[in-house]
Amino acid sequence: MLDTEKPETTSEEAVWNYEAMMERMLQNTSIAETIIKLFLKDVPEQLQKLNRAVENGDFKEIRQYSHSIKGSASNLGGDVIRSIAASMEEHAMQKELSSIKTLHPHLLDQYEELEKLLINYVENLD
Amino acid sequence: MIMKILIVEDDLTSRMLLLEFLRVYGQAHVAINGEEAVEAVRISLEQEEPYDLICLDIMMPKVDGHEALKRIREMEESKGILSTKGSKIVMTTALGDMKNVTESYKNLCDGYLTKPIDGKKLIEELQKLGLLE
Repeated sequence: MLDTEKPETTSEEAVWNYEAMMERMLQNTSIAETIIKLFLKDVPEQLQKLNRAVENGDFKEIRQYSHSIKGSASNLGGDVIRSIAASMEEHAMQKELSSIKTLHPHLLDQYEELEKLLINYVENLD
Repeated sequence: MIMKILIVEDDLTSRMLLLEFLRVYGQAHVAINGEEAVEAVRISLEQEEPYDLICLDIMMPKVDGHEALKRIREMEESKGILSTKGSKIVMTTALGDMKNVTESYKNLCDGYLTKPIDGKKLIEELQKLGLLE
């Protein structure tokens, strides 16, 4: 039933896959608004905790926060962030700090990209 | 039927998304880790008002979903509740993390739901479990 062979990353990932998100949210814009606003509040806090964990080389915490960011991004259709966070989580399990440090700035850059789109969306709601 | 529901998720967006979808079907409680979940179930059993449905995330800090699942079923058993009559427990996990699902826990739960949370799949799962018409 489950396609566990599916790769974690593809070259065609969207910064924000709005259509897929809306389909999962049953086209309910009120739910979408709530979840996006929560995301915009929660993920920056998770990113700060992740920053500290990366600085400290704390693999357990890197795994925990990247897992959480992965989950939140996946709900919103933030596919690029989801896959970067998934890789960081994987590397944390393997205790590979150099790979984590390479991915980390990309995660922050991509969050900024997604954040711009989401803020724009929220601001244009009625 | 009006359900009593427990949502156990450490990730805020998953927790709220499940809450948004499920609150129309009854009374929904939330817990943010396995420890809180076990406590909520303990209270519900003491009050003899068990949960009809528990959505239980697998990967959580403190007590994880598998451990919580085991403890919940043990508590039910100690109250003389057969596993087939206990709460319907649906484990939630990211699609890529299904490979980490331990075989031995499969007979303790009633189903799996992969994340991202999908409203349609969630409702289909509840129908499959006989919780919704």
